[in-house]
Amino acid sequence: MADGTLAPLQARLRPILEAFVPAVAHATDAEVAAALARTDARLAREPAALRRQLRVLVTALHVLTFLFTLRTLRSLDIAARARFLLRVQDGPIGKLRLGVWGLRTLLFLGWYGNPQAGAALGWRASKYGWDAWTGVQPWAPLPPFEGRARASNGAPGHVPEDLA
Amino acid sequence: MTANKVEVDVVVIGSGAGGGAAIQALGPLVHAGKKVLLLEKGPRFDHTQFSGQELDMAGTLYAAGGGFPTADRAITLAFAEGLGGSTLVYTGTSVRPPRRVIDGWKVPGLEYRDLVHRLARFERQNGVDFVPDAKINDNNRLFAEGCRKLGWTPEQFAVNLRGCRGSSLCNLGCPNGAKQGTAYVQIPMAERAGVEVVTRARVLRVAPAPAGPTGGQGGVLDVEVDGTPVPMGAPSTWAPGRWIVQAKDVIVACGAVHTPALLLRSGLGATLPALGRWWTCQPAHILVGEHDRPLTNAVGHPKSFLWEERIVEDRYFLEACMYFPFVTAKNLTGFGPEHERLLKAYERLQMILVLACDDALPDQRVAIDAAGDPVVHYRLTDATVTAMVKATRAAARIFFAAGAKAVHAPSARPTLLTRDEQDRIDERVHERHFHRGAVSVSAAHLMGGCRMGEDTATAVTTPLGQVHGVPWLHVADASLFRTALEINPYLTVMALAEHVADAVSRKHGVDPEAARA
Ligand SMILES: Cc1cc2nc3c(=O)[nH]c(=O)nc-3n(C[C@H](O)[C@H](O)[C@H](O)COP(=O)(O)OP(=O)(O)OC[C@H]3O[C@@H](n4cnc5c(N)ncnc54)[C@H](O)[C@@H]3O)c2cc1C
Ligand code: SF4
Repeated sequence: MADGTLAPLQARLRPILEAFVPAVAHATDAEVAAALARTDARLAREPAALRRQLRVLVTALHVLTFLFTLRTLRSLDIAARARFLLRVQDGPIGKLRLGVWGLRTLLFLGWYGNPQAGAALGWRASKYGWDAWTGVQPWAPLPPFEGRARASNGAPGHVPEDLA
Repeated sequence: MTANKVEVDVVVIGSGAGGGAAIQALGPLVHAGKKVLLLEKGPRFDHTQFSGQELDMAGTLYAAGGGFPTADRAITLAFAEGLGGSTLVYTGTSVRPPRRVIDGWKVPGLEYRDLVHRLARFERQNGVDFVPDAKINDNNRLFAEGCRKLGWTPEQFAVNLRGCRGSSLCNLGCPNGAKQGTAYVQIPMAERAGVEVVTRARVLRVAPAPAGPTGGQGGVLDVEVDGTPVPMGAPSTWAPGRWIVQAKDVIVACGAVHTPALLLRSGLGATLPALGRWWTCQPAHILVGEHDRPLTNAVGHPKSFLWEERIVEDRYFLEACMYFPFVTAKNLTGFGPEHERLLKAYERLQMILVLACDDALPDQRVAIDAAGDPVVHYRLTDATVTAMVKATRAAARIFFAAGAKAVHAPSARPTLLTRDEQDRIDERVHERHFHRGAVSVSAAHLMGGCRMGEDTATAVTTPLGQVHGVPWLHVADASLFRTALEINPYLTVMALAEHVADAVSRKHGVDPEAARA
């Protein structure tokens, strides 16, 4: 069995991860495992109690789905899963709200923290900045200078006369 | 195992904006024959190793990998650990403190005029200037344009760059060494003056030096030098293990989380009731506007404009900003198909950072857990939520005025506002939709916990930064602030730290002004 906090729960987590990031529906098991490994690496810094709570939360979300929809989480389509989990996240129980928020944040970290996933969104920052930029050129004209003030209290490096 | 022992005249703990400014100011003491030491918990980095990869760099540079939570886990606090402290990851927004805030602190002897003289010098040292018009990206242009169309006045602020290539990676450590900070400017100057700098040296505790033939004066530090290999960063110049450092004067500059924690660990809480309290952080979140066409957003320096016309009345200000894929994903409220659709529009996204000016309150505080590690007890008050909601409404107006077709607002349900809802912004964006814990709030402007002042019931340090009742112990970082600064703080932190270090220099017989001249 895989090591870590969430990796051993891959089968139960996948339908949740798909609800958070629909593109995961097209991902291989290896890609999902790599995302969970990134999340687990981050979780390794967290207290053991928190890691335990996360594992309980994953089970609780499956149980809650069944109780409220009489369907398994896996059998709902991705949009319906996301709608249900959003209801939990916006619901009245503070602990569940924070739990879902925390879980989605950690799973985002694992998924979007992968440079390829970032690039797939269109993030093209590079060390070489403008020199390597292959995208559009700036298009909105800068407003005329009178339209903006510069530095509220003095030119950089200078002391205004009244304070000299 | 016996600990190594070192004796110095002055030691500075922490090398961020505060520690870096303080150590530079103390450089002239070396010429006067004094021994001056800087201890920093994180490693010394070589910027050419900075990869620009979000997780790698967050894990390398930030405390808790960038995810240091408040006790209720509702807010993420961002601060860095390494030579240079948070100046390694700051954006470099270089703004001066509002006079009303400094005057409002009413700290005797702390004069606005004096601070301005000091920070003007730091601006010159750090190459602070405006990004030229031709290098301003669409994300900033649209912010300025949106404000202007509304009849509001955006302000262009200066940033501290030398040779910026516009890689937009400032918050992941500048891979070009262009962004100036204490690791590149003030600390090298101090080293050239003869100050010793030791990294990967974490101070566990400070205590009064034991009385004896040579002791009884100053403080003793219990220091742990970490020798475990790290993927990036140089090893310490000191051998791994326990070190004891005795110093006539100790200046703590571990930042607004770790300075109060270190003093609490050292048992000072019993005599200093204000220690750790009146802590503020200018909570912030990101808003996103979606345009019809691609923008230059992840290229060019990320920040050049702010809008602060409502700051006094409504307690918020707005800045143009641009963040990385994971941080953006985290900041967009919710998840699922709509969340993913918006993220996939990344090239067409404009971003604005909403910052609230939170009140300094005694119950907002840094405490320590059983292991002595910091725990930040901080709650978003109703007043702060209201400020964030008002800020969100203003930002939504800027986005639409700049031509955005939709705006993602965490305090709206549904979160996406479309152009045809422009007239309903006040109704759509509302406190009742701001669910604490389900909105990604983070903070990078951490302040207070060792506030200055004369009254020991409400202050920890004297107007010169000396810890009340402990003549050899001083604080020189953002924890000195009495209230939120209501603007980006690093220049003010540096100016205050120098003000504190100058008092220590005088104590050791060196006139700092004369030395600088
Ligand atoms: C992402 C980000 C962006 C920012 N952008 C801006 C900006 O554009 N403009 C602006 O004005 N401000 C900005 N800030 C805020 C600014 O960086 C901080 O206000 C400032 O650096 C605080 O200075 P400091 O000395 O109090 O703490 P820090 O700079 O955080 O330095 C504290 C240092 O102490 C060390 N330390 C802690 N504990 C110990 C210990 N026990 N022993 C030894 N060393 C220890 C830490 O490792 C760290 O290096 C930003 C901050 C962040 C995180
Ligand atoms: S935008 Fe400029 S300062 Fe920022 S990381 Fe890139 S080169 Fe460095």
